[in-house]
Amino acid sequence: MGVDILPLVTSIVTFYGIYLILALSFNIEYGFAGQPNFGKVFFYSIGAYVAGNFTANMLMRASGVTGVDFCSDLAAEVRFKVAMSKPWLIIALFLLSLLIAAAVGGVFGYLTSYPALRLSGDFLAIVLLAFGEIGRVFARNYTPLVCGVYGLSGVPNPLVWIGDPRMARLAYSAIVLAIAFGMYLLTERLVNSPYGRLLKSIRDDELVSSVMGKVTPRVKGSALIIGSSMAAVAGVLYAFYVQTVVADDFIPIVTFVVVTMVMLGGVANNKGTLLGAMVMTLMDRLTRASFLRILGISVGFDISYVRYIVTGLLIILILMVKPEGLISEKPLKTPAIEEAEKLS
Amino acid sequence: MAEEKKGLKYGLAASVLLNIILLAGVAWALTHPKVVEKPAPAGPAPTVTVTVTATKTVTPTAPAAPAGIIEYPIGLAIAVSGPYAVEGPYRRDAALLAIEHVNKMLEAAGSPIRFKPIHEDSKGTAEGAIAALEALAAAGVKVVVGPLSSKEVRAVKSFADAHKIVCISPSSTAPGLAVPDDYIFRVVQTDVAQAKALAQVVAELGYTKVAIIGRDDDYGRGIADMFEKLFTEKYGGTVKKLMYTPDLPDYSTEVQRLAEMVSDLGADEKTAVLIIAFDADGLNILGHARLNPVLSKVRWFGSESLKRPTFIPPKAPAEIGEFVVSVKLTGLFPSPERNPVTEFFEKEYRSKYGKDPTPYSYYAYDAAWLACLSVLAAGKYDGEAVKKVLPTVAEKYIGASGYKKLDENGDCAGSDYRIWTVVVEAGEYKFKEVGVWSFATEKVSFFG
Amino acid sequence: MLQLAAPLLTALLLGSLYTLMALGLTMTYAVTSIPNFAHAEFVTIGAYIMAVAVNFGKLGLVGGLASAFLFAALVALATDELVFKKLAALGATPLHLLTASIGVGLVLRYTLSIVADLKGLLSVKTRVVVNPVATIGQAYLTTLHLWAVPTTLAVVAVLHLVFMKTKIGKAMRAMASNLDLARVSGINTTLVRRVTWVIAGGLAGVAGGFWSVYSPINPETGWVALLWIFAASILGGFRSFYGTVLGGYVVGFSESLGITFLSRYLGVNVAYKPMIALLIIVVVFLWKPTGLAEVTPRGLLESLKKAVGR
Repeated sequence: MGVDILPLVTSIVTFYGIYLILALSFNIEYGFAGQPNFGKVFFYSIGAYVAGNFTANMLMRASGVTGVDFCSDLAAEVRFKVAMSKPWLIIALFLLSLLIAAAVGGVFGYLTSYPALRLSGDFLAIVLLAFGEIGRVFARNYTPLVCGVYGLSGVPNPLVWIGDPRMARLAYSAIVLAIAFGMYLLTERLVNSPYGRLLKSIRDDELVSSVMGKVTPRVKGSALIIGSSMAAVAGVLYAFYVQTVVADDFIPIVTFVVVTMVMLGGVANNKGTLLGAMVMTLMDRLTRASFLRILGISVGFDISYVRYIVTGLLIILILMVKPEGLISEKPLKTPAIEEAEKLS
Repeated sequence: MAEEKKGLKYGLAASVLLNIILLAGVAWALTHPKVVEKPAPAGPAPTVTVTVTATKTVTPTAPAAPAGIIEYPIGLAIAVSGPYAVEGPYRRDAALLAIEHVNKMLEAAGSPIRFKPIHEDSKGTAEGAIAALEALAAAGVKVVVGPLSSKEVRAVKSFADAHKIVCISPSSTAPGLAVPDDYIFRVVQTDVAQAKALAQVVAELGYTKVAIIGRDDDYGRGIADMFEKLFTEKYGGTVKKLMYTPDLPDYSTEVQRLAEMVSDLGADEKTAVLIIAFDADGLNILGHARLNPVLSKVRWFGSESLKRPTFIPPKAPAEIGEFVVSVKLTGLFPSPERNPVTEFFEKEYRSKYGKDPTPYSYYAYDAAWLACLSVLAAGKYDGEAVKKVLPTVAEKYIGASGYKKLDENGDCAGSDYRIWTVVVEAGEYKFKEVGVWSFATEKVSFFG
Repeated sequence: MLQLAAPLLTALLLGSLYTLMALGLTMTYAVTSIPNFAHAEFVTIGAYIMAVAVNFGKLGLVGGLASAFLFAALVALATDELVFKKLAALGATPLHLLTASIGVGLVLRYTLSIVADLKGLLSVKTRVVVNPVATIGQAYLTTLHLWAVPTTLAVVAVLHLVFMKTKIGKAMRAMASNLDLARVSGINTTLVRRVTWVIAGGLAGVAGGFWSVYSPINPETGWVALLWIFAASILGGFRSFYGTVLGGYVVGFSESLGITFLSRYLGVNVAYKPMIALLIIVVVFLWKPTGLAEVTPRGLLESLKKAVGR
């Protein structure tokens, strides 16, 4: 009956990793390029659909089992067995899923740039929000994708062959965190590169940038492609983590959580995003009745609703105390500026 | 700078104020509970024929428990927001009531064991369910009541198996989840039996054409598809289906389409409507249907989820009550439908919460009882041991939702279905039992 | 034509209710630049107040609606005074305000959930019977049509007069078009702001009140309708009063007629219904990036002339 800290660690690390990627992608799109992509959950879901559908189909093919309904729980069992016996296959499928999803996400990001370049801020946000819901309603009705309302189960953890499922989960969460951190480093590089400065300059004054001879629509579009591609990668990581892909999980609230992370942490600052994602993750995981019990606190009533209220209050409070977010936007960092700072 | 400081001060003051308002609201609600009679003393506990063999060898580690008391946590992974915003709290309350009753029993017997509920909102999503289970697992929980929906159960299955956590779902009905030797148990029958019984009842009452209006989710689709298959193949009937997206603000357009479909079917004495709905959507649909002349003249059948006090007065508006009586809304519910435990549960639930339990609350109550009893029977707080004894405990258990024998997959073994319809007796609306569908013989018989 | 009567009448009612809900959202956005996601909660609060006032307080329809207006208006005013106004003073961007409104929404929605849960009011309907007063084939005109549609039209007419004739209405328009200019011109922006929030919250409350007569409600009723409210407002250009009225009815009509047609003649699954309003948003914005506000009768005529001329 003792406390078992392992599932909590896996839970926090994986959730943080996945949402960090989403938050970073929103930060690139909104913070640096000024495009509020409120269709975040749509691109996230694309990754999950691609990973689920592709992996499940390939595993079924590899199993040689025919005549089993793709969506059935029996098929899910078959897929787990194949993954158990063929480590290289499931790892290959995982890596391929990441690549394919990133590509597909990028394509959808490119398509999104069409409305994005025509609409201004708040309109774009709502139109993309609508995009996300259209995607969800379509996926829940179109069964071949991820089994519609039933959801597709049997997308095995890529490390399932380790044998000990608890270790497999832990190792997988480490992979998620590593990928998320890699994404962070890449994002940092990107936004401190000439490209990042260009994004910021367009965000702050598009006219000036275009006068300087930059093709601003193309640059803005490219930010959406990068962001969507990242969100799709997060979707793949999510699918292999939950091992079930259900269209109805991809509701607008996911986007709101991501937006809140970025706004709380500080716009156009990746360190802020790290912090904002951490605050929201811990808010979600450490205010639960289960965690309070670990601390020895026993509550006499159901705290689920209270948790949501406290989350809401925290959002309001942080925005009031730190209107710029927890960490505000830093000036540009270039080798030249660094040298200059050293001199002075 | 001064401006900024001022803003900050205001901000803090505002948040504090908002907090006070909030707390005042909650305090008001807490201090003004619904008028209820004094909580009844512990009445007859559910019929239990399990030898309780709990030993004191377990090391008590639970925090905040009085000396000498051994506290076992029971996780409640029950969604109370999103799609379950209305229905979830009812089931959570039923499970809490069960744990309270078990504790009363243990206290009266002088046992040192107590059960402690820990509730997690699983939000009705796969991600929410996994997160809830992870949190419960971290707190050392080995026995969980929930999750509610099949898609949540499917999502937590591999986690539960890996961490040896027994999950007892009060309401997951997808037939596909019937897997032997896993940590998932379900105290409710799968959709197959209900669809089978429904198709037979509808056919034997002489209806050959059915228009279905149902929730497009795993619950609604499960029943609708199975019903359609059986009704057309076995009974040679005609079925038209209208599946709607759940959680929309309004369904008037869907109801109009339903009326057109019923007209296409002939809208005669051989045409019927089958509604598969939850609370909010069901009431909305019935509210529109009662105004429609075509839909008012055909017979209506309903899924078991329609047998809820919400659908008849005094809970429902009188006009909806009149409608369901006039179209002879008929449905099924697993039996044995009423027994002393059922009565006891209803009485206790009403006196404690001031509201009537919903049909699946009975199952949540039984799931929680089974969870506690199995821990007691196992003699230790261990998932593997609980999993082993649970089928035997269930076999000897009759609860608020009837006899709970499980089949080889850990799901509730088939039982009979009672056929109910809504009637008005002495000005009071009631679900009246008018017949029975036998699981063993697959025969329908009507009373009187 | 008889076949169309039913979806048309539904559309009329739904369009009116969506318009009533969306008007406030547009007003607060235009005057204070807040895309207010907590607006949905004002609808829910109004709905609950109506149900409680009528079922337990025996207040009757008008009394219920009045209390719904009053209470929702107070809550709206309080949220602005306590949260949005402070944030705006700190120089928050619209997206910051949007994030804050998500927070406000969480607080309001789940406070309501706690109260409703404890009071056994998780699902409740206002006890006012809606009866058909006239039927056309399978279509029916109900008493609710007779209350809700004229109320909406009256609200639109009164607001029109307020915006055009009164000082405060003109001040609102001034603030909506240029806040700084309005301030230098000596407009009492604080007062105008308050009035705006009172009207916005109150109208949402009234819409919620009607909704609780129309259908049973629960603590997530408004939240579920949020996308439709936004659809109505955004279709109208998000800042335009008349655009919103148009948007509300476009959403109501397109959804009701659209799915009826698609399902009846093309056999499209009815479950696709929620996609229609959303697709219209996408299509309208790809066509007119500023929404329907820019679409004037004259403009339409001209583009028609051009098309014919070609």
